[in-house]
Amino acid sequence: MHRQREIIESSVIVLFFVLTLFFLSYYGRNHVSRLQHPEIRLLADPGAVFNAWATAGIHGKVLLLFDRRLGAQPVDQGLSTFSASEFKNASDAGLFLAALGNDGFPIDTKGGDAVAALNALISSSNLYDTWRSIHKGGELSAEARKLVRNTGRFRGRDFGTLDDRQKSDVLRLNRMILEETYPDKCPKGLANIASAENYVYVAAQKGVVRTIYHIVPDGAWSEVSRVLSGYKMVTSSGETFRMVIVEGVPVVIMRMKDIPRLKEKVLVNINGDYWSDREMAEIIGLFHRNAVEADLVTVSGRLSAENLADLKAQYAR
Amino acid sequence: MLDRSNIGILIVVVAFSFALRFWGVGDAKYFVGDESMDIPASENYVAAGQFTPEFWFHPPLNYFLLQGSMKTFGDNPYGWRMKNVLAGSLSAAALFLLALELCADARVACAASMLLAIDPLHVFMSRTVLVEVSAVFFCTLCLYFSLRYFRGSTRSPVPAGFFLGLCVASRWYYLVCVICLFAFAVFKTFQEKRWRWLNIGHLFSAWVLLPLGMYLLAFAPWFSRGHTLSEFLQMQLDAYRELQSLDLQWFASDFLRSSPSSPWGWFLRPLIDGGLVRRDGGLGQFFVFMNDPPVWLLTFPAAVFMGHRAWKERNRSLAGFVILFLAMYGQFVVVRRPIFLYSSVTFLPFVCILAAFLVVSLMERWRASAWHYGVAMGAIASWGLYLYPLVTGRFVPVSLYVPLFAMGNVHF
Repeated sequence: MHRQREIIESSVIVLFFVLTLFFLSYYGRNHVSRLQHPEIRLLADPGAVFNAWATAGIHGKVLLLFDRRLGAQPVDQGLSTFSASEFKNASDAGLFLAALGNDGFPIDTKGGDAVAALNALISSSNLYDTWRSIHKGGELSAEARKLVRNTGRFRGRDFGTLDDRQKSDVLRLNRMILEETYPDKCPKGLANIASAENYVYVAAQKGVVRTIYHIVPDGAWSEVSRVLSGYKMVTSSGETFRMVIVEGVPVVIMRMKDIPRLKEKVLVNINGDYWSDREMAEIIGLFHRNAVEADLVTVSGRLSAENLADLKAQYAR
Repeated sequence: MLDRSNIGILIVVVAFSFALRFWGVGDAKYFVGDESMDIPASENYVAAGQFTPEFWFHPPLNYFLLQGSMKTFGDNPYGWRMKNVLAGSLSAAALFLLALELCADARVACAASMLLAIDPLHVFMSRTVLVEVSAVFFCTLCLYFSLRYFRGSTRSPVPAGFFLGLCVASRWYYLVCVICLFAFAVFKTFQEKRWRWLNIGHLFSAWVLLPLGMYLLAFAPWFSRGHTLSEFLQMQLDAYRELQSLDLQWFASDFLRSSPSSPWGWFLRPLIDGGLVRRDGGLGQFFVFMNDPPVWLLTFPAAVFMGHRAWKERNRSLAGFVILFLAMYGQFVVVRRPIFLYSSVTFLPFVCILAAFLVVSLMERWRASAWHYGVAMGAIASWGLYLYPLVTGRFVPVSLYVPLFAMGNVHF
C-alpha cells in the first residue's frame, strides 16, 4: 500500500513537471508574433523604428540590429521635462505658460524662457494639490491617480530633497496632469517615449523584442570592444560580448561574421548611415543565402538605389 | 499532539497577531516604501510578463499573491497589504504547530508563536507588501510538514514539497532548504535501510521536482514574452550574475544605503535604525527598522543549547533544525552583496523557536511554576506592546524610547 502510494505520488509529480515543461515551451513559442507577408519598411530615422514595430503588432521577437549604436538609453525623468522641440511653434510654449498663469498656477516668467518656466512648474512637488484647488472635481486617468498615491508621502516636500525615484515620479505626475488638463496646449511628451536613443530599450521593456543581436560595423569593432571590455557586467567570449538591459533582455554584440544561425524569422533593423554600400550588399547577401530569415526589415538612413532594389527583389521572391 | 487547550491558545495567538498587524494598516492611503514598485510590477508581470519597475532578477511569486490580494480586497491600501497581514498572522499559527511538533512542548510552542506575533520587524513587515513575510509563512509550513513526514506522522512528503515550491518561487535562498531537506530525507531512508531507487525517486520528486516545477510555472508570464526554455536557463544565470554584482551604491534609497547591510550582526547586537518623521511637542512619529534585542541576541546561545540537547538525546529533529538554521544563515554570511535587515525576517521561525526552547528549558531546570510561565508570557507581550506603536509609525512619547534609540542609530 505504502509502495503503491509512493509510485502514484512520484508519477503524478513527474507528469506535472513534464507537462509544465511542454506547456511553457509551447506558451513561449505561441506568443511570438509572425507576419503573414514579409515586409520592408523604409524609415526617416531610427527613432521611428519602435512605432513601425508597434503598428505591425510585433511581439517577442529576436532582433538583428545593424547599427553603430544600440539605442538603449534608459527611459528616465528627462522625458517628463519639456523641451523646446516639442512645441510646433516657438510661441506655443509661451502661450501655454500664459494659459497656466491665467488659471492661477504659480508661474515664474522672470527669466523669459517659457520652457524653463514650464520645467520649473513641474518641478514643484505640490503641483497636484495646486491643480486640485484650481480644477475642483477634475478627473485624472488611472495611471495619474496611481502616481498621486505613489507620491502621497513626499508631495509638498522641497523637490531638491527628494531622491531620484521620487523626483522622477513627481515630474511624471505633474507632466501627466498638464497633458490631461490642457490636451490642446500641452505636447504629448509622455506618449512619444521612443527616440533614436532609447527605442531598443522601450522595445525590450514592452516585450516587442526578447533577444538582441547587435551587429556593429567592422571598422568600429576595435573601439566597441575596447569600451565594452571596461564594463564589469559585460562578458566576453572571444569574438562577441554579452550583456543584459531592461527586463533582463540579453544583448549580444558582434561583427557580421559572427552572426549565429537563427532558427526563426527575426526582426532586422538597419541604420544605413553606418554601413558602406559594400557592407550593405553583404547584409542583403545574408538574406539571399538564407543565413537570416526576417519577416520585418526596417531600414533608416542612407541606402543606395542598387541595394534598395536588391533588398526589394529579395522580398519579392 | 494538538489537543483542545492548544487549539484555544492557537486561536488567541492568531487573533492577537492579526489585531497587531491589521490595526491601522489602511491609514496610509498612498504607496509606502516598495509598494510604489511592487504594485505596478505585479500588474505588469501578471498581464504581460514585465518586471518593471521592480528588478527582473527576483523570483516572481509575490506578484501573483499581490494581484490575488488586490482582486480579493480591492485596489486600495487593504488590497495592497492584506496579503502580508494574513500571511504574517497565520505565520504565528504555523510556528505554533512547528514548535509543538519539534519540541513536543506546548509551552515552547506558545512562547515561540507569541515571540513571532510581537516581533517588531515581523509586525512592521506584515504591514507592507514585501515578499519575505509570505515566504516565511510558506517556509514554516514546509518545515512543519517535513517534520511530520520525517517522524512518520504523515506518509506523504508532497505537502512539504508544495510549500517548498512556494518558498523557492518567492526567493532563491530557499534553495538551501531544498538541498538540506532532500539530504535529510535521503539520510533517514539510508538509516532505516530503505535504500531503494523507488524511495529515493519518491523523495526527489517531492523535494526537488515539485518545487522546481512550481518555480518554473511562476515564470509563465515571462514566457509569454516569447521566451524558450533555453533562454530561461540563460536568464537565470544572468539573474545570478546581476545579484552578485550589486553593491551599496546600486540601491537608490538613502535610508537603505545608510542602514546596516551585513548579516553578521543580526543576532549579535541591537540593530535599531531609522529616524523621526514628525514631532509634536513631546510626541514623535518614527520610521524604525529594528531587531528585537532581548530575543534575537539569544539566538546563537540557544542554537548551541539546542544542538547540545540534540546530541545528548540523539534527537535528529532538533539537530536537523539547528543544521538547517546554520545552513540558511551561512549562505547569507558568505554572499558578497549587501543584505539589509529586512531579509533577516527569513530567520524568525528559527529565532523564535530557539529562544523559546532555551527559556522554557531553563525555567524547567529552575522548577518554575505555571505562575512563572504566565509572568514570562506577560513580559513577552508587554515588551512587544511597548515596541508596537513605535514600529507601526504611531505618535509615541519620545522620552520613553530614548534608551532604546541610544542602542541604535535613530535620529530624533
